[in-house]
Amino acid sequence: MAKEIKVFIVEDDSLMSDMYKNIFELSGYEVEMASDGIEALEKLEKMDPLPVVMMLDIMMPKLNGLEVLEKMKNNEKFKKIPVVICLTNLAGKEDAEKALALGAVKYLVKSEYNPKEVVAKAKEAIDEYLEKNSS
Amino acid sequence: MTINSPQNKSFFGIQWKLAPFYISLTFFVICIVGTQIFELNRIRSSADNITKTNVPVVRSLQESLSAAVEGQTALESVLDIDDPKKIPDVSGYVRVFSESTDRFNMFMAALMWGSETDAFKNSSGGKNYDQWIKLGLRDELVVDGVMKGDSQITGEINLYYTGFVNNAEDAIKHRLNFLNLKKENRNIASEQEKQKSKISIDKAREFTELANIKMRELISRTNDSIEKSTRALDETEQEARRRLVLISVIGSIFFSLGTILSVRQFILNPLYKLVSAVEEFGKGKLDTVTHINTNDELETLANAFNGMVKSISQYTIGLEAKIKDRTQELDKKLVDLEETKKAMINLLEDDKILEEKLAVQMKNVEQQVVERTKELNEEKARLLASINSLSLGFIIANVDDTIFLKNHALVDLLGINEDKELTVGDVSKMMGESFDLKDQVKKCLEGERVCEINEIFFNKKSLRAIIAPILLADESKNKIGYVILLEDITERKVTERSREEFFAVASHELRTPLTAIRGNADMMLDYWAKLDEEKKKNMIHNIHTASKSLIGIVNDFLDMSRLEQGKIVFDSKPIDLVRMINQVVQETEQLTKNKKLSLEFKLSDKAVPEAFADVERTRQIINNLLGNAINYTEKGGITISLQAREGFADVIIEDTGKGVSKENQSLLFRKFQQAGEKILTRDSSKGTGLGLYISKLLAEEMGGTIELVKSDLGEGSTFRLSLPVVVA
Repeated sequence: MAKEIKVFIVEDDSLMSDMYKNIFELSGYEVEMASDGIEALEKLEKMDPLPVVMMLDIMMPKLNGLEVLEKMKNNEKFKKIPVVICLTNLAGKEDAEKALALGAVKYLVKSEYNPKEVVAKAKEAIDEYLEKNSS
Repeated sequence: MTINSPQNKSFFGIQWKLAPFYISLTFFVICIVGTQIFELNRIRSSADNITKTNVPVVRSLQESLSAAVEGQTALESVLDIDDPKKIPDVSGYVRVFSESTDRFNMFMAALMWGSETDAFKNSSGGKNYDQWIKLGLRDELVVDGVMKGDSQITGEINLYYTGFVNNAEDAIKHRLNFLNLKKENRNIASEQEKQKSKISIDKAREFTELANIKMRELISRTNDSIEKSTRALDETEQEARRRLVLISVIGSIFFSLGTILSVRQFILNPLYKLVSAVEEFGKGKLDTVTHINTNDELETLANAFNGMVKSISQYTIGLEAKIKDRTQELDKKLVDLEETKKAMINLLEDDKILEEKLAVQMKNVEQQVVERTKELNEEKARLLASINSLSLGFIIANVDDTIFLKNHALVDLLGINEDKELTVGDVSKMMGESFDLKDQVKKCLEGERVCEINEIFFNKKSLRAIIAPILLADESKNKIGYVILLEDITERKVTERSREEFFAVASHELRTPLTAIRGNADMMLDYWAKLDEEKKKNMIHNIHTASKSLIGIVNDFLDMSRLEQGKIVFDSKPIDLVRMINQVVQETEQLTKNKKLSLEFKLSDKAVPEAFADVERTRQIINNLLGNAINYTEKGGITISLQAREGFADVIIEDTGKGVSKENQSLLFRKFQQAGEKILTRDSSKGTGLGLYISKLLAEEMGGTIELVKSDLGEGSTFRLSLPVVVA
């Protein structure tokens, strides 16, 4: 089997993080976890290789998802993470726009998708990215 | 009015009437003064003449005197002269003598007859006294004396001079003889001659001496008479002057009297007549006439005066006639007036009765007015009270934008002085640029409908404005003003915002457990075969946790709703708090262990009485407080203590957590408020923000309180639940 695609899940709610960890693993991804913005950035620094996909929650303590996005945008290394998807329960349009403006590829509201669908969306994003870059 | 000019009669003006006086005065002056001056002049000239003539006369007399002396001396010297050629000539002396006596005689004649008369020219002769003209020489004696005496003397002098001359000639003759004899025969004959000469000389000398004595006498007498006559002249002159003065004085007196009398006669008398006529006229005698028949200017004046009097009297008579007529008219009018007055009085009496009736009516009306005013005032007061009690800012404005009425709420809202007089313009300016009140008012009034404006920001408040025009209820539909309502909707907005935030959070909260339940269930269904025991257990546990969380959230909502509607039933009974706390501690131990926090129950020394409250709700509150403490504490621990005080049992929960900032402390027990700081960066509390709010409501419903005793950022917070104790 090819090396598993690394996905980095940043989520403070243990219920949620557990759930997504399970579904991605079950779907055959390698999973890394962080439970708040600060921890996320710290782990990213040390991570090698960098994850392909990042599932980023917005509402988190210490540093929220949008702030993380911003920090990543200004960081040379982190800019390269291809797919960043926001996975949140904030359903506001402005929030979505803000996130996308800061570099998120997708903005998913948790309650609208079951776990399998979330994984499917992630895969979709990766495929899109590969397609864009190969051509 | 014309002045009767007396040109018909003969006119003899006053100036002519006074003419005699001017003329006589002049004449008088000329004559008297002239003659006096003339006389004075004559006296003066006579005096001058005397002086003119006397000087040479006296001088010649002196000369002859000195000549005589000289002659005699010369003669004396003859005896000593030897040269016949040197013998003096006597004839010269003869001439001198005769000249002087002649001159004297001439002088005398001048004194007597004046220097210009023929008598003067034929001076050497005795003349008659009868032919004399008295030339102002009063003293005849003087002249007389002078004449007689002086001519006698001159005669004697002549004799003596003749004597001298004869003897002198003799002497000379004899001397010559002597001299002649001397040469030949200077003997007795010559001696005789010498002797004869000597004798002749002596004789001559006698004569000379006599002559000289007489001459001196004559000279002195002449000087005397000159002096006397000069003095006489002076006296005459004096007298003449005196006469002049006297005449002048008398003349002046007469003249003055004459002037006074004539002025009196010609000027003053007529004038007095006129003056008295004027006075009479002034006193009111309108037919005054003055008669002056002097045929001069005064008569003219009198006539003019008479004419004037006549005119004035005519005019006055005319006036009086007019006045009389007028008075008659007025009398008539007065009579009419009197009748009218009588009629009016009658009317007035009728009026009086009417008035009285009116007065009664008025009183009634006034009373009604007073009552009505009282009613209106009460209404007004009620209205004002109502308006002032409104929590809305209320303005009634006039069409000209002045403010008719404003209430307390508005004053507070704008933060102005109650007494300040304002216009709508002022208020508009105060409200700043974000909201143009005046403009809105204008639009609203034009549209004649009620306008509502939201989203007004002023002075850190959110406001809502309602503008309504006030129209009269009649057909005219005139605007008499408008009403502005200003509502402070900050609280509501905050509440709305909080509500929006709450829904955001709440939705989030609800979605999380729902998603977890659904997700885990999905995964279990899809991957049942792949999953191991551990994983399965884990998932089911997650579903369980999520469900519990969901139930909690839903319960919070329900509780809040019911609490607010007052629909919660409390089953209050005595509670053993010690036991309850122990139970709660036991249940929560795991959580604190997971977070590596300590949890301690500190019991007080004194026995704590039982609380009187609902068991479940009390447990709920304690769980909420404890739950918050755990959630907001990362290190350290939590201490629960139980204490008793007057009438209450206190459950105190102290943590070493984040603490709450001073600003947020006041917000803690509010609806939807999280105890965290920012809304996005929230803690992993699954709270809806209703926890403390519900706890507070529950505690208060049970007769107790919840308080934040103290809290410091970074150090921790202390909450206290107080419940009433069982009344023993």
